[in-house]
Amino acid sequence: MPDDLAEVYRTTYRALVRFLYRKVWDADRAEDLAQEAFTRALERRPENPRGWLFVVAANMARDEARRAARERRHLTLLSGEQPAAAPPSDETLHAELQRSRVRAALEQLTPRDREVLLLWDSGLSYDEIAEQTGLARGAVSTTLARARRRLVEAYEAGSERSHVARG
Amino acid sequence: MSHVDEGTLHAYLDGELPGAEMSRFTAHLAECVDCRARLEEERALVQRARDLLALVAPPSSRARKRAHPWRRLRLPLAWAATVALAFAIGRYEESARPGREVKSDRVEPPIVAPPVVATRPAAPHPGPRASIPSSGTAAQREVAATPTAVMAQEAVAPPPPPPPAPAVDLDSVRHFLAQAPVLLPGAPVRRVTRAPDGIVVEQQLESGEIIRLYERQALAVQPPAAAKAAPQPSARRTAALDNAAAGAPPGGERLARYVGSLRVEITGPLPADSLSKLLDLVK
Repeated sequence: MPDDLAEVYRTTYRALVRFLYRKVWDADRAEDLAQEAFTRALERRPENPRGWLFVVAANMARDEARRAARERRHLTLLSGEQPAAAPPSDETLHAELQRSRVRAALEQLTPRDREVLLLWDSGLSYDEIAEQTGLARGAVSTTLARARRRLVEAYEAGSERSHVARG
Repeated sequence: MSHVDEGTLHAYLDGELPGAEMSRFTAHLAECVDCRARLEEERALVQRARDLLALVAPPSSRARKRAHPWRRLRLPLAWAATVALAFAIGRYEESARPGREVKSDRVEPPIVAPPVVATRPAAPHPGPRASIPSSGTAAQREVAATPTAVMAQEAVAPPPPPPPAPAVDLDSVRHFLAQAPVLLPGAPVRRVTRAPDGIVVEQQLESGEIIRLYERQALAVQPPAAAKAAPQPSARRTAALDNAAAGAPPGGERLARYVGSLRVEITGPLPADSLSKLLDLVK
């Protein structure tokens, strides 16, 4: 691996996995896709590898979501028999519930808001986000502000709904 | 300067406010109580959003290993193999001493063989091996040296022929198996394809390896002539495995078991012992 790309790998790999995970919601798949993105970067030698990797990763995640949707149609019934697992502890259940609420809240954002928020959380700068999304630099901050607010509001609305449902 | 907008507050909090704007912003902030209050609100919002996102970080690979029991099998198996290898070498050295009588009715474990490539079982070895090979991969040594792996290896056959057919739908699966297929719990199904008299389910282990479960109705299986004692549907292993365990010449069966009314064979790039354990988990 060339030095510059090796450095990008060292500083960006975990962030890229995190970015992908929040799109495909499968840790192994996220790692596979991140590695695939780096493999492509090795072949293509892009000028700005960091930004390029996130563009490629976002495209791969989109393709992955389509493929997963097709597979689910085929395999829902095949995987119907789940193994009997030990009942989870209250703590595990609570953590899982929180995760699913955050995930649901993220999915309520517009694609643009979600993308900007996830890119920022992956460590990209405003300039890099602007370049990747085509937004003006000044629009990145307002998009980010809106995305954060909507994420928190959607999460809290989800929590309230579940409290009401439980009485 | 009029009150600052939300975007400017976030850019400031993110350390992304350009120099020229920064001085105007700080000057305004120094004299505007409202904007200072809003800044604190936005700071809390930024932190809250960051905390929420942290909840959906991918699980660490350590946590994932804990969630998938077969990952835990590998180290103990490697240790078992090491101990067994030391034991086997010790026995060899002992038997190679001059004047030492050697038992000849024992099946010698084949030392050099790929871990999951089929070997037709060798006839019982007439005497001690001429030499202990000094090369071979760790995986080869692991499989060869583990006593239980010996019988498993004799029983492992090549994977079913690569399925030419595309992924099958549920109707076809039900047609071939008369029920839903059985699976290795917790491993994502990558593909389900047709086989001549059943189906092949490919599942991916947490470690990335793909295992194949070749499933067919038990009634459709013709027991080979060599295996006179046909396995009962409840048998955990095939007749060949049982024969091998008893020291009898193995019949060349695959590593298989019966799950309900299905016969399930397993193949994959893992030591035979690991495949055997995985097969036990199939339900």
